[in-house]
Amino acid sequence: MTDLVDLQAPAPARRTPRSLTLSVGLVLVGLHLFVALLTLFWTPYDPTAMTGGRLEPPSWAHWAGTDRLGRDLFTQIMIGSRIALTVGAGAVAIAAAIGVTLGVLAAFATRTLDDVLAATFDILIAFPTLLLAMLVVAATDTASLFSAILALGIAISAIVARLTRILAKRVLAMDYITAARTAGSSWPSIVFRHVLPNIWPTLSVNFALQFGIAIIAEASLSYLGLGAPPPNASWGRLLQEAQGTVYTAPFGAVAPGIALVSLVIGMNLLADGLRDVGDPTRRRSR
Amino acid sequence: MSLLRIENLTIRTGGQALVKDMSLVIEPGARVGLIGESGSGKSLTALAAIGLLPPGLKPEGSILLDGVQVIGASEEKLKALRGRTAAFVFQEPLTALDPLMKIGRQVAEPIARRHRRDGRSAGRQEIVAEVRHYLERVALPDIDRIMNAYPFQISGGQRQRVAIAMALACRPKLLIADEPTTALDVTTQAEILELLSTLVREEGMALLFISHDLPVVAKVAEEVTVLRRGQVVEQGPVRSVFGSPQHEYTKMLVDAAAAFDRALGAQQ
Repeated sequence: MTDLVDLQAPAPARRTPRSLTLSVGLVLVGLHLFVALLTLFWTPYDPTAMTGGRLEPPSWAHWAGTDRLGRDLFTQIMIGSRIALTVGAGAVAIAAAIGVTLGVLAAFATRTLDDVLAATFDILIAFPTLLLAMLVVAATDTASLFSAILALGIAISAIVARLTRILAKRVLAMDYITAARTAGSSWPSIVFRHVLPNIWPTLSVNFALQFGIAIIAEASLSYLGLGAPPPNASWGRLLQEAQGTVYTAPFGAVAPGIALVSLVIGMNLLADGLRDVGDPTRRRSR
Repeated sequence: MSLLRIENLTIRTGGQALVKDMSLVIEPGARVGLIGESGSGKSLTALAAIGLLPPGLKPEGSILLDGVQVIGASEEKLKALRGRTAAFVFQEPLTALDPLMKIGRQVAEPIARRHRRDGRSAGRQEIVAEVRHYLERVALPDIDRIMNAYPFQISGGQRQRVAIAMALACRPKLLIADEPTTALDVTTQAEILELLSTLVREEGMALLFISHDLPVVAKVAEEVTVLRRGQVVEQGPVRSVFGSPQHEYTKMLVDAAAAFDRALGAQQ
């Protein structure tokens, strides 16, 4: 009898080949990561040195042309990758630390505390991310790379907290949590063994999405002069500098734009692909 | 000393009483059935017994589990009782198992916890050996594969066996089975009932078997309590309660079961 039952069980899932989405995402993000690491050791030119004429179009010597001071744009865009990835990773790390902690806390809290926390998340989310980040930057006096990371991290943490709270609440209502409690599990063990692993697939996808949003937000902050100050070559600042000459030297705006878009799209594709990999019940479907 | 002694238990939410003046005694090693329609308060009674009522539900009366008063007890005290004194098997084995944890790790958890409580650290090898022991105990085939499988990769009957193994691994004095066969097909149901009866007898555990299904209860229990709308309507040995039911509701249950048997007989 047991043999009969056994035959009906599905075969153990094998690791499915990575989906196309995931591959393209990995390639785009990987490329930026490679370039970012490369700039730590080598760049084609000194990013602050005047190495050519002003506003030169792309050429073999200057792949993306030069800016209005004659500096190599490609070098600056490469360094921009490093800035963007640093800001994205830093902001998501801060948002994850604050957001997941508060979200789980709210899910476990008494009714009143939960209501207060949930309302706080909602109010913070009601502020546009960029506006919130600008407020934080303003509060930190001087614009620096760190203040931009902190600002975006705090702004995004509300989104992460709200998502975590909802996901954790859903998991806490599951039978296997009751089962674990009836068997004598403590709350910390339930959080680390059951809640976090079960919300992780969804959370990680969201982190990748927020990573992309943080990069765009950093570019916006820099564009407004609130991000990393010169000589940090943020893409947002490159775009802002190219604005005045966009009709005479369009490539100055197009090149950092392409860099920005490729990284953000890469992150979003990665997020999509991660969704399939993170959940074992979905692995077999592709 | 009785293992579980529930006296005049009333469970309220708002102004409404979900369980009224309920009393139930389980002696060590006894097999007790709790029968009633859905919403009659069976599961609430069981959850109240280990102090796990959902928030908003207030128990009154007295519940002595292994000599400890459960009502009003601290979470610390209750945690020590859970698993060690009473362990649960639930109705729907798919949702009662963590979907993202491999079976082997899930069964290892209560084992590791039991060792921690006993104040000794067990090595990985030792725990794995115990996991295998309990999976063998519930007659699962192909244990190596099952230990490395996720819950969705094994059948419903196998999942319920895993859930039973997890409860056994706590080495409880009382096993509370809340509709453990309701989500299973009929043949698997019979196997699981058989398994539960054997295990309870062999391990010397008491069993509280909750069901809405009279023939199922009659198969595993020696004593039965019939609940209706939160109140006990009849209580006693299975033979006398089902043999000569006194209350209208019990009569109805028995008649319904008998009518089914007659219909089967007429077919043959």
